Amino acid sequence: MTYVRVSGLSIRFPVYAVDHRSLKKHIVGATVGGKVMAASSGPPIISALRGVSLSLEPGDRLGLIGHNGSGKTTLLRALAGAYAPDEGKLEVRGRIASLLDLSLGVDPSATGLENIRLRAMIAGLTKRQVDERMDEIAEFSGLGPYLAMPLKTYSAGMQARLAFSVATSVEADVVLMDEWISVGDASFREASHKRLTNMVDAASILVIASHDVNTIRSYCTKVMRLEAGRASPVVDINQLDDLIAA
Amino acid sequence: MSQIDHLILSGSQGYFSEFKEGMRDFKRSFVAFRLVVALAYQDILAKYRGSILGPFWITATTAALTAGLGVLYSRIFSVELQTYVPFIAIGLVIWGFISATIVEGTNAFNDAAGILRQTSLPIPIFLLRVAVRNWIVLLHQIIIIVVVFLYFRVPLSPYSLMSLVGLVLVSLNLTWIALLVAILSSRFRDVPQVIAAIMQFALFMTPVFWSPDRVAGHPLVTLNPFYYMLDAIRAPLLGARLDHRTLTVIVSLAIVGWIVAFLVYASTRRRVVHYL
Repeated sequence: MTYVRVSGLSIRFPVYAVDHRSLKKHIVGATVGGKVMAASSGPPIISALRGVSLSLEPGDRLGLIGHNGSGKTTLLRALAGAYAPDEGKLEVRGRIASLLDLSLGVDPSATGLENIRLRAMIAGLTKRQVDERMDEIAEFSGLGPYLAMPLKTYSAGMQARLAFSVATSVEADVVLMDEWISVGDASFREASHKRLTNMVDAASILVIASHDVNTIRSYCTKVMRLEAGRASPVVDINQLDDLIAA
Repeated sequence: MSQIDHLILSGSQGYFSEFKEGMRDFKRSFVAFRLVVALAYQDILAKYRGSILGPFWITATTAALTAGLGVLYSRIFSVELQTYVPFIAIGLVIWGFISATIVEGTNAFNDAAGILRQTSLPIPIFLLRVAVRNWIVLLHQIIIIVVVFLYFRVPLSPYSLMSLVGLVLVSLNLTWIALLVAILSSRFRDVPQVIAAIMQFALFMTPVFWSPDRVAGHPLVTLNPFYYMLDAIRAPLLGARLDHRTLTVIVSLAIVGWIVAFLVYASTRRRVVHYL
């Protein structure tokens, strides 16, 4: 039984890589982002999520809306298991597919095939599963002879096709997405849209963050708004307009 | 490693649960050993892609150094070639292993930032990746020792196998050092430079080129952990007994080091991803 339960989730980022004093000057008057706390000593801390609670059951498709830096991506990454909560609890039952950043820092000098293998293993497939799916992934990518060449010889579009083909080859119960993924040229876009839709349909739960109201309307059944790390209650998609206006 | 299907994360529940979680991270990392090996192997492929010798470049470099330094220093120190060359061959190979594991440890987590930020993969996977990568390099280097031993007909006894015990203990020590270095380097960006400088300095302060007998009892030797690591592998290979003191030191160092490194890991594991 797949479910997502989040209660009172808070995540804070200490920001180490900046000069505190210069940053403090800019804290006042920021219109985007989570709440930046000007700690008197130590690094500045961003409260990316503050007491977020939500509960999702099979069949739920949740859309996350909110300004840049309101915490949408942080929430998605937390659901992917990358961030440990500072407070609260997070539980995800089911296999997670995290389609957040497809570039995933894999070696550019490795060939397309090596990239597929490594990405698939990072995504959680066993070596055996990778072997079984290799042909299908390679074929869907449509990269043919390029698969034997290093990734750095690929155009940005070709790299995205490869990454997409691997990322969508895993079976998942919970799909996490930061904006609806759209890659490649016209013909690939159509095929990839179908593949992504199939993956999402097969999953029990989808959580997608988007700035595009139409995306939210077409794929989601529920919606939640984040603002400076605080979350609205999860409401039905019918109430999207009210939520945006609020 | 297959996809995990039950993820539970919560705020810190106190020290005890943090330790348990830290342990679980290590357990999950060992379970994912196939992924570790794939990542390490890919690193080697990437580094030497397109080169004819590949990872044997390190072997060739070390071999040339062994030959050159062997001929030169055996004269300077007036030691016989057949005593000195095997000595320095082992010294250089083991030192390369020690130094590379620690120096590469500095980027173990930094290099994995993209993956750590969007998956639930346990952090120690990327520590093991560095360790395995250097074992693979070491395997290529062992050829030098084999060739030198055959050429100079260095006698081996069953006791030489004790050097394998030494190797395991050294490896255990290197991993905890690499773990500490990896955590520190992700938080403080000066650490990689400091570590590189220290290892450079340590090369000359450790009896790699010169025999420890010449300065027996000097603190440079007795207080130098790298001396004991080197000695634990080199002495048995050259037919000496594994010194009791050496064994005691590296076993205690491994135990104390791992306790400290693990405690540091357990108390920073939630933060490491934010450091990156």
